[in-house]
Amino acid sequence: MSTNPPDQDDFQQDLESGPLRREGFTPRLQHNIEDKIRRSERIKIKVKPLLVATGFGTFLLAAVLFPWSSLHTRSDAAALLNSPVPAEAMYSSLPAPVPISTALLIGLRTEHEPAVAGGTDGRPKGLRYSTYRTMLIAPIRGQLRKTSEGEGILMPYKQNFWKIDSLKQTTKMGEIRYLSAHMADQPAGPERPTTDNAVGAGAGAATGTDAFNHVETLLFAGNQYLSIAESQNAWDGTAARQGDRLWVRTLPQLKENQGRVLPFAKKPAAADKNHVTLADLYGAGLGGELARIPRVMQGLPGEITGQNWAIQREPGRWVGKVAETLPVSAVSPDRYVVHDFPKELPDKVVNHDDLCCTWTDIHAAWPEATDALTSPMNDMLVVFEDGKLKFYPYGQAPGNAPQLTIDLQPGEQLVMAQWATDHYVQEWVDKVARYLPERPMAAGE
Amino acid sequence: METTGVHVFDYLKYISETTDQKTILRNLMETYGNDVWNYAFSICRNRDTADDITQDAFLKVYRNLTTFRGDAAVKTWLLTITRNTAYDYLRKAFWRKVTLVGFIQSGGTSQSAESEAVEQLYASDIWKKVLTLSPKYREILILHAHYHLTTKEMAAVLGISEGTVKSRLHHARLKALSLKEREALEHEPS
Repeated sequence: MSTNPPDQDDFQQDLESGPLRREGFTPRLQHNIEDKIRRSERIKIKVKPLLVATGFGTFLLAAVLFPWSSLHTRSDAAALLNSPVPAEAMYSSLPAPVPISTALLIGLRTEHEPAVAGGTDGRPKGLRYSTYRTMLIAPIRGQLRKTSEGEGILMPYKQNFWKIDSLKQTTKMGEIRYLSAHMADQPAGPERPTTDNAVGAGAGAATGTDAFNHVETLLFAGNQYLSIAESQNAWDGTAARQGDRLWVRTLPQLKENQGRVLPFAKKPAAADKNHVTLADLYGAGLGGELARIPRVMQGLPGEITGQNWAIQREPGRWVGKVAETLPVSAVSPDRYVVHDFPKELPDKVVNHDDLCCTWTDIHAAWPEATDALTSPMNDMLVVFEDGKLKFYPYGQAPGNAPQLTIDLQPGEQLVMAQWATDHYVQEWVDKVARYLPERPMAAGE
Repeated sequence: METTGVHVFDYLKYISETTDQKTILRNLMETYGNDVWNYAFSICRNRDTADDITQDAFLKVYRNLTTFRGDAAVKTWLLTITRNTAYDYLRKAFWRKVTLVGFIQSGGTSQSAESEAVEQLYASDIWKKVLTLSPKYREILILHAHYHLTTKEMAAVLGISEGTVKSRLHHARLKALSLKEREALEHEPS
């Protein structure tokens, strides 16, 4: 073992010299630059008067000599444009493609119709729910492969991996699908949400006969942050109530929250302290920013506190959405509308969320693309297109076969994209294979 | 040192169209040529591309000499131009390849030959390791440790806030430290 960790100031000494042994900026390069300037100025000087003098004459000559009869045929220039250009000729002028050295741990979510319709016979209406899967894509002997795949979301957190599962609990009061987090090398804890009507002192109209369905949906997982949407349909014997809440929690907060009281009526949103607020991330001075967001219903006391917000995927990037909570009604005690949050999400939340190029560029090359990712090393491009995930090495054509294609399930959406570089790639390949069930590789994967 | 550079090139603030701009460019290249090339190489990690970027960057400098008004230090100004040129170049190269030469398979011989050649030429193991960091982290670490830029100057070059510079630099250092630690472990006799 090394005795002492390296001193941080060592970098100043370590990186004092240039990156290479020899100097990169050579006299020859300097000469080339000066030469290029000389030549471009000479051309400019010669061309200016020549252009003026010959411009008009050329126009006249062209008008006289132009073969008007052949106007319907394709010009030589057009033919040249369409003829295949030798690959080597273009290749020699471009930097060589970068071989893929990055691994991608990708988490996906698929939404399903309610298992039970409900809404009749005094039963609450069913809710749409989601299932999740995680895959690790990594270069193996120079070729990109799906090395592991499994249910749930497996996310790196500090030096470990954590597993987030959507668990189902059916009680006489209804169906509950809740998110549970545990370290991947340990079994899930016994804690589960509390549904006992005797628990909690709610501000709502809980009567002791409440039945409810509850669904928690994971919208984003990254670093230590989880964006969660909660939905609940309840029936108190006389009326149906519907509620929705949005939270961003850290992994430890989700774990601490495992024994939470579930009927919304038993625990008002304001009583939930186990979450990350926008002020936690951006500081208390955020109030002015939130105040400037135009409210959806002018005149009504809608509130944007930054307590309830979400991280959502839009084509090519993660964005923040902040909830405006609406006045409480008997039918909907928890209601919100979301607004775009006008600030970039900080690095500590989304870590690497930079595309190689603009979404317009991606869309121009892959018109059917719905989303895209690029690796931090800029060596891998992932395009979501035609219900498939297509993995291209940096610089491969859209018309060409991707190096790896994985089918998406209908409507499947991105929840997590975590990248490994350097020695972490092999470490992830080994660890993820342990935590996700093994799966034989299909041909072509 | 940058202070010397600021002093020497202070007249850049006052030059006009009639000044001998070729001589100024030559002075700039002699003083900062390696800084520009090294930064270009740190971004693209390819010697030929670094040559091209350096050339384009100095041509831009030449065309814009009269626009320099000394709001930033000369080195910061040059590094900003280099960075913009590098990313422009990489973006264009990427799209040229995507749209024109996509039929070329990646991982060809020239790439591995280039990689091996460069591997042999790195000044030190730590440079080799730092250049494996993601662009975001290696750039900030190099601007700090190699170019000794202040937080404000790094923010200006990278187009981010000073707060982001601090947090990104912190993460970059942690990542580089873990690489360095790992290297120390690898070289320790068992």
